[in-house]
Amino acid sequence: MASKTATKDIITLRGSAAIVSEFFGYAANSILYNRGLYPEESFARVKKYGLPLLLTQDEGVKSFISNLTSQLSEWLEAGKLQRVVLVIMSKASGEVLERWNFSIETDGEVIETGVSREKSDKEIMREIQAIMRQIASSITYLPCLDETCVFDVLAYTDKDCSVPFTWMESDAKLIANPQMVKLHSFDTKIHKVDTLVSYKNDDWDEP
Amino acid sequence: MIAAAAGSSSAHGAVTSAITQVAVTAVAIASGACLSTKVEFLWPKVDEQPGSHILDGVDVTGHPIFNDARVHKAIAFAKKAHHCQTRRTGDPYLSHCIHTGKILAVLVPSDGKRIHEYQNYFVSDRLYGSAELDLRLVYAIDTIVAGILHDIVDDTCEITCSAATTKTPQDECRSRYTQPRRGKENPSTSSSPSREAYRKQLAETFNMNRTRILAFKNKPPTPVEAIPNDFSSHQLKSAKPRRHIPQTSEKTLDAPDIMDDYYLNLLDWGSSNVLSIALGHTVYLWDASDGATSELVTIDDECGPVTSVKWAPDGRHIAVGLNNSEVQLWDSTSNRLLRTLKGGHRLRVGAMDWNNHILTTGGMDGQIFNNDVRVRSHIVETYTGHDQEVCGLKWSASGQQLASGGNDNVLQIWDRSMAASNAPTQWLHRLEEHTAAVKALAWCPFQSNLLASGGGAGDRCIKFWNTYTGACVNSVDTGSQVCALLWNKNERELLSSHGFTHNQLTLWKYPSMVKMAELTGHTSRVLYMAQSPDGCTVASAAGDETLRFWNVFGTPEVATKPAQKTNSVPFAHLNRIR
Repeated sequence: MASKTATKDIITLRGSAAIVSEFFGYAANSILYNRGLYPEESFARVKKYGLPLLLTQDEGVKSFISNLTSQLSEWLEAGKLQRVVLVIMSKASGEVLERWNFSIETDGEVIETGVSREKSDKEIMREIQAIMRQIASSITYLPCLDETCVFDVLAYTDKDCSVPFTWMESDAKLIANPQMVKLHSFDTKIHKVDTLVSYKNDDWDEP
Repeated sequence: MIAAAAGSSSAHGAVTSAITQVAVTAVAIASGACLSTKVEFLWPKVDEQPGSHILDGVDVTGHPIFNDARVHKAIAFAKKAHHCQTRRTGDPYLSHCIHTGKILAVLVPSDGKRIHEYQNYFVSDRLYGSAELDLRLVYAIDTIVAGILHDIVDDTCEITCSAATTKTPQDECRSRYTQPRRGKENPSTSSSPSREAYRKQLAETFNMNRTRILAFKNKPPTPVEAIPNDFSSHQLKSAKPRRHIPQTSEKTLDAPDIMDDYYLNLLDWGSSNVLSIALGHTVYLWDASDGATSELVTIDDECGPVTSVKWAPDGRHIAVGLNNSEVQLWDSTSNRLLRTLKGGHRLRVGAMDWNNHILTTGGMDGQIFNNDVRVRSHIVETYTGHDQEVCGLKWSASGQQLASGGNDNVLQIWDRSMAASNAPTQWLHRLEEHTAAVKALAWCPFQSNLLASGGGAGDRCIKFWNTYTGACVNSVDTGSQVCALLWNKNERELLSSHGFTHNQLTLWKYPSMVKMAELTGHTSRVLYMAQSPDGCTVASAAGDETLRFWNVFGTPEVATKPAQKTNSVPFAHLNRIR
């Protein structure tokens, strides 16, 4: 009889990579919706992580994100991904206004030996849910994005990682003197994902 | 949790300068009270502490900050400096210094909590808004030390300023009075844990030894330029000066014998800038560019009068709906009748709209037909749903959805994707919220699924609909029968025309639905409205037999900016009618 108190599920490297890359897909959609990068009508509601989340129906954006998440999944399985950054830039000036930073710590042992870990799926879902809620509520303190903005995604990988032909080297697209807010993190016991959003200071915040 | 106000040195500066301000104020108050530091009413009630704490004759019980080493050093220094000095009361001068420190300990507490009685002495709440706890303590200590040392430079002759500055707490003393704390002279106290963390993070970021940064080659599609999110609070195209909306008509023309019938649509302005108006049995064309009038056709008595006119997208061909249920198609440049559509409707055709080569007609019989004007058997689709006269018909800009309004108070949305080949097509949405005939229909140019509809005399409301979901997103009671609606293509505004009692045209700001202007002039209900192709001028006709022109959407010379559309330009491929 399975004991009620310790319901832990087996997490494999592949499973963990899938969880993390899927999370990133939903998080990216949520950011695009909440920051108003694409019109609201272009998003459809789905249920995930126990929350109503929005997914873009725009074909271009959809394919971009799905290509992205499949590549991230590959890198995660190889243990090569250090962080993923979603950058929001002004369309007109190209200036970076916001950076959503997801840093990833990978358990090296799992990469080398291929062992699996144990953690309750529900627990992971709860942690992810907390992050998604924080992303949605971030609009309360993030400065308004008044102009049309575009987004891009940067992946920080190990130096020895081979670059797939659909990717290219990029600069870090940092913000000068940013304000930073650290959000919750989640841990699959194989990958630990920390979330941080840094944004350009609102001009009229300063005295 | 704001993780790093440290790191942004400007916040640092803000806090320190605020601290300075308060400290200076506080010290000024304290020194001003130099003569009366013994007056107890200045002290608020502090937390009782077990055991009392007396420091050189001054009771500092309840202020644990006086346990700090630096404060002790300052007191020792001051003691030495004020040696043998006494106050007027005879007390050693040091007691005044410590009293000052005590006042400041209350005003600038280390835990960031203010004591209410002293609320009005604070400059602002942002004093401790973003500093770490230890920073607050550091500043609190600095402030108290400054208070203790405030008379050193003035009152003692032995110690010069430089001597004072060579001893601890030298920096605090000088900087309190001169400039905000720079902090780099005293690195150990100025860098807080969060600043270190930020430095570390930055270093990590630049640690390119083991990291490469990659970006996807194919960039995501840029969001559509046109209109930013409706819910953001800013104004469209920021800070445009309010344009002047002329309150009177620019031009008035005679329109004798125009029929005063709510259910007809007798006015239309084509893309070639020619206005067509049906007066009784005759259709006239008025060229807006030169003001020339010409007659297109006079219908004979059995067939007429004319009940609707509608220009085709090419601005050359025009459909004329008749009382006898027929529809004539004319070529306006050659003044030739090309075709007559018969056999469809059984009663008069009061409403029409074009969708490329499809002419949609609505009749008094409640039927709506999609007529493909190129083929012999022209009826290609039937929409059944209205059981009374169809008086409003409008295709959406994309041509995907059709809105129809009838005398049965029903507004229906039809979608092309739901077409069935043999059977009449089913409606997508059937909206029955209006309580009177729905004639006024207008699709929003900047939000493709937004439709505005207006109700007749028994309803008087303008309602806004999301045509994907069928939900009514807003309803505004205008107080008067709504005869026609037009959206401004350049700004977010809606124009409605009304009947009794003012017969006015009202310009509303969208989405706030604030009235921006009311244009009066007509003396009977303004049944018909049409918009010029450049989007600046509106023509209105009423039963008072006048046709008026209003530059309500902008002056023609200025508004040369093309309207920004989210979808492709409607009627982009203009099919010729054979």
